Parts: sequence; C-alpha cells; structure tokens
Amino acid sequence: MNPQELLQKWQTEFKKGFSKPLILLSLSEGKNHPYPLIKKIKGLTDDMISIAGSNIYPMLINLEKEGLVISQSVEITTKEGKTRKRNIYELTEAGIEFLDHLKPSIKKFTNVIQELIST
Amino acid sequence: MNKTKLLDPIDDYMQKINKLLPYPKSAKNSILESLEQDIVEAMKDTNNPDPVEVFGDPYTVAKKLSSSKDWGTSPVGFGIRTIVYFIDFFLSLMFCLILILPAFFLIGPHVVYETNLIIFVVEFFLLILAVTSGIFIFFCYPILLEGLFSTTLGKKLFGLIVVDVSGIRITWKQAIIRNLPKTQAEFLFFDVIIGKYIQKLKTQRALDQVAETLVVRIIS
Repeated sequence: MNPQELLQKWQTEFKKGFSKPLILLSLSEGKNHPYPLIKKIKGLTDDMISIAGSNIYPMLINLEKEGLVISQSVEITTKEGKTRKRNIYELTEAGIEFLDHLKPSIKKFTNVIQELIST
Repeated sequence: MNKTKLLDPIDDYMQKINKLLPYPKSAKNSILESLEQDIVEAMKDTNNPDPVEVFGDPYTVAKKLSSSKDWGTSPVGFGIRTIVYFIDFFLSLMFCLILILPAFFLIGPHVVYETNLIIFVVEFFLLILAVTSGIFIFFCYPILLEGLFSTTLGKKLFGLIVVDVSGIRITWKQAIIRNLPKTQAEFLFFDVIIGKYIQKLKTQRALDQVAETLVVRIIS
C-alpha cells in the first residue's frame, strides 16, 4: 500500500480513540446538540478530527448508557414554523468526575508518546 | 440555497431511515426528529443538497443508530415461538386451503367431464394456478410477511418482531434464510437444537445465527 494511503488509514484509526474523550471535553463547556457538537470538535482540533454525522449518535447513546452524559428532548421551532423535538446532551455529575480522571490520564499517555517520538 | 429543494430529499431520506426501524412511533420519533434537525443543519453548513453525501447512506445511519439504542425490546424464548409457529402453521394452511378448496370444488368436477378443449385448458390452468398459489402461500407465508412487515400474524398476536441483530428491519435475503427450515418440521427441530448448541445468543436458531436475525418482543 502507498505510504500516504497507509498513513491516512492509521490516522483514522488513532483519531477514533480520541472521539469519545473529545465529546466529553466539548460537553464540559456546555450542553449541545449532536451536530453542533461535531462542528465544535472539528473547530477545537483544527479540522483534524471530524466525526461523521452518523457516528456521533451511537457514541452519545453509548456515553449515555455509561452514565457519563444525559440527553433531554427539547422542542424547537424550525424556520419553516414546524415544532420539532431535538436532543440536547450534557455531562452528568459522573461524567464531570470521570473527565477529571481522564484528562491527566490522556496527558500522561500523550507525553509518553511524544517522548518516544522525539527520541 | 432554496429551502424547498432541501426539504424533499430530507423527507425521502428520513422516510428510508424510518422504514428501516420497525418500532413504534413513540420509541423512535424523538431520535428521528433530532436526527432530521442535525441533517438539515449539516446540509445548510456544507451547502450540499444530498443528505446521503452529508450524513451517509440511510442503511448505515439506521444501523448505527439502532445498534446502540435501547428500543425497549427483549429476546423471546423458544416456548412462545413454538406456540407462534403452530398458529402461523395453521394460518398458512388455512390460506392455502382457501385458495385450493374452492378451485377443487368449483372447477374440479368440470375439468373431469369437460369435452371442449379450450375450456378444459382454461379450467385446468386455473386449477393448477390455485394449487400452486396455495402451496406458494403455505411455504412462503413467513417469508412474505417477515420480508414485508418484519412479523407474521402469529407473531403479531404476541407483539413479536424479527429484526437484524443491529435492530433494524430484516432484508428479504434474511427472511428467506431464517425461514428455510420451516418448510419441514424436522428441519426446524434440528435448527433449534443446533442453534442451542452453537448459540451466540440463547434465543437464536442456527439459521437465525446465519441470517443474523433475532426475534424480539416490543415491551414499550
């Protein structure tokens, strides 16, 4: 396989691992809807990590099952005047606590990798 | 961008996803409405009128959505499914006889004594048609109903549906595979026994495992 293609494949694989922590980090700044959350993560990571629209839902549902986020169905009125339900997600107390443990863990992990790369 | 042009493909897209989720409206409306709003927003942001390009194909979206979501269903054991099997067996037999018996009684006597060749051929053809349709209904009843509605009349009585392991509606191919042993009761018996022996999930027959299907009861 072409090195560039292989690199892209590997990048996709390791980026996947950061998706859930990034969702939690984004939600720590405030509650959000799924799509705006994707945009926020994209912005926070300088377009490096872009979660596919269809992937954010299973991730959020799984995080909800783990008790880290909670969803609420809120009614919104569209520009066409229709009333629609839209899910909004926020961190739970357990999610906030977990994030406090997760941050140093990721930091330690990335530091080790960085050291390995620079040697 | 023209909003009316945007809404039509979205409606079509959402209908496809909705169709793939064989659950009550109360269970899926909230998540689908939320998804729709995200798709509309994503399409406006990217200025792309094709929801498939923006969000992925409906099949993948439905599958990803369904596999993680708890739809309020529970797997159904072989006890109830055996009762359902006999109900469906008698229903399919009844439909089969409804097609065959009148043809036999109405056309049968005529065919035997018919001297006009054209009428004989027409009556004989009608008789064969009734018999083959009856046999077709008898054997294909579960395939047809499960392929079309994810359930049969017997299953419907008990609030059961057949779904893909991810939770989405089964395909025709899956309906055919999982119903193959129903053509012979002894095949079905072995299908259950083998299924229990190689079980991935307690309630799957062997061909349920091959077809990657599950019979579930909708609780809420």
